[in-house]
Amino acid sequence: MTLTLKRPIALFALAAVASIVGGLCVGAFPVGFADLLSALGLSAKPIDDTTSVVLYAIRAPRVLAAFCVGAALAASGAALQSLFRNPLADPGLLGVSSGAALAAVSVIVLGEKVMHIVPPDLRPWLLPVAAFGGGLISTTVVYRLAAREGITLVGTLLLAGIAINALTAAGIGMLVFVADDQQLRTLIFWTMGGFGGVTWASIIPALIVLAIAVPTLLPVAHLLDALALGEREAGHVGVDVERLKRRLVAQVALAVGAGVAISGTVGFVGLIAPHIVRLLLGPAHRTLLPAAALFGGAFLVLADALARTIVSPAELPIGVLTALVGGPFFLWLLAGRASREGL
Amino acid sequence: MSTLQAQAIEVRVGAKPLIADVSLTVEPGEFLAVIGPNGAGKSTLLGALAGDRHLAKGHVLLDGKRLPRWNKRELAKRRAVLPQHSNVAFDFTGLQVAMLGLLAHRDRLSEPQMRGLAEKALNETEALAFADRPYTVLSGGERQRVQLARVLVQCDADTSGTPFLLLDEPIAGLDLSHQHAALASARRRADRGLGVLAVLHDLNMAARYADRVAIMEQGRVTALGNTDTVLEPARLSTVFATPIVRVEADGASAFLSLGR
Repeated sequence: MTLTLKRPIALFALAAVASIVGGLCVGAFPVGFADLLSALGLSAKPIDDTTSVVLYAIRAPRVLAAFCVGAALAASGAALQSLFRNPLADPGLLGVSSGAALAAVSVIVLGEKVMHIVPPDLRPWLLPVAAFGGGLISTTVVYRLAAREGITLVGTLLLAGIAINALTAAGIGMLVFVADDQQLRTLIFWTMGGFGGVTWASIIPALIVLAIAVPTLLPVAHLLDALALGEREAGHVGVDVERLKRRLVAQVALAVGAGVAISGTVGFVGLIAPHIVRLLLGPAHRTLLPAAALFGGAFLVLADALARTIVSPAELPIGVLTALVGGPFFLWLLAGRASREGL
Repeated sequence: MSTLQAQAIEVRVGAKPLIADVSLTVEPGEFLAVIGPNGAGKSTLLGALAGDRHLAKGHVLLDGKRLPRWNKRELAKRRAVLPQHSNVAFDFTGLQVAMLGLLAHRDRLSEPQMRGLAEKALNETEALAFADRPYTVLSGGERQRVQLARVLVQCDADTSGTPFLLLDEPIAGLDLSHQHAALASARRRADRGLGVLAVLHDLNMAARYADRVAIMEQGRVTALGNTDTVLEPARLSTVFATPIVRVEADGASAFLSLGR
């Protein structure tokens, strides 16, 4: 059992490491593998200052951020899918991401008016906290609407997501209207997603939140398995379902909120990664959660590498890339479900 | 003494009572069958005894302690519930579903121990062949047997107190041979000291396996007692609004309904 469990995880870990190495080397300023080894202290060959700056100050935080956000979105997707007992639940589709984005954008545009009353040390936290709050509200609203007595109404679920996405789009539209030019650039970047503005200072608070919210899903893996039986049945086998639900909604909101605070809204990672891992390793969450996180992280690191190289020296918003892959994938999933069970 | 006891309970949906003034005790070592027409409140009673239903009046007590005060995990060690219909989301295998019955026992059992117990239960319900197959591809009867195994393994794993087994129409959808096998499994648990309550529609199955029978009509228990005294053709004919006779053949007796 442990052998069959550990080997696929090791493969996923290997793929994640490979994607990170690739992400560090690829870009407008290519870094050789030998330089990377020296930078890590694994080779005696000296590296020049430019390479060092590119690696440490620019690429390392960016790759790390992409990996962590991808992992967070994938693990959140898996948790949401367990909660809703539905493989179509994704932080982006359900409006969790856009709820977080609206809150984040509000801080960008209107935050200056309140910034002076926030102590300087806490200012970097304002954005992740707001994003978390926005994510929490939207997740709760969708859950209240779509889940009744343990049964998730798929139609309602997706419609609730559409409604929240429309509402947040209206809110963001309003903020676009009042924003100045500088804010407008930041704002558009936020709604399309990207890792272009990432620096160590800007990502540390959100990374701390992710480091707490994502790994702590693992201890409830077996409870997430039990949710597949149905909420009532999960209660019968010993799960305190109400408590678990509150915990999941909070953790997903934290993880997605922190992700949005780093990179804006990046769609479909939470849909694709858990689905592919389930196909390969089965639905048990003890393997699904870490494997999906590794897969989601690797996926975003590669997507980011692609986003900053194909139109170099310009950059594609990463949300556009993931939507290009994720949109058709979602349609394919939907078509399969529709033909199988009439949705 | 360990009992599962409903004390004058009432369950409502809106203002309408689904069951009212129901008092009933499941004793360890007995098999209690609940019968009655559709919509009489049998499943509601079972749900109330399982702790799923909010009670407008009365209490359900396990070992003298009200159900809402029980810790979910401790409760799961003391009673198992087989629902009427069960869908499982995602492609969990039969074995994985059966092993979920051991969730409350994870701290005490190793992975191989849990696997062994689940396989034993699947073997008992003749569902071991589905151990590695996704639950979602199984037929209705096959799913029912996997779910039964999940419930059996849950109450078998406990060694500390008397567990109770609540079965909501456990044989619906099963072929005759598996109907007998399922109820014989429940009967064996009762003989071992567990308290079993099963909602049944088949009078002959109730007569064959139960020690006591409760009849429910319009949300109330209208008869409760030993199987032989309660299952009486004249009473059954009134309850089910259809003529029912008892026929004797080869030293055995069976109820026969003659159509309306």
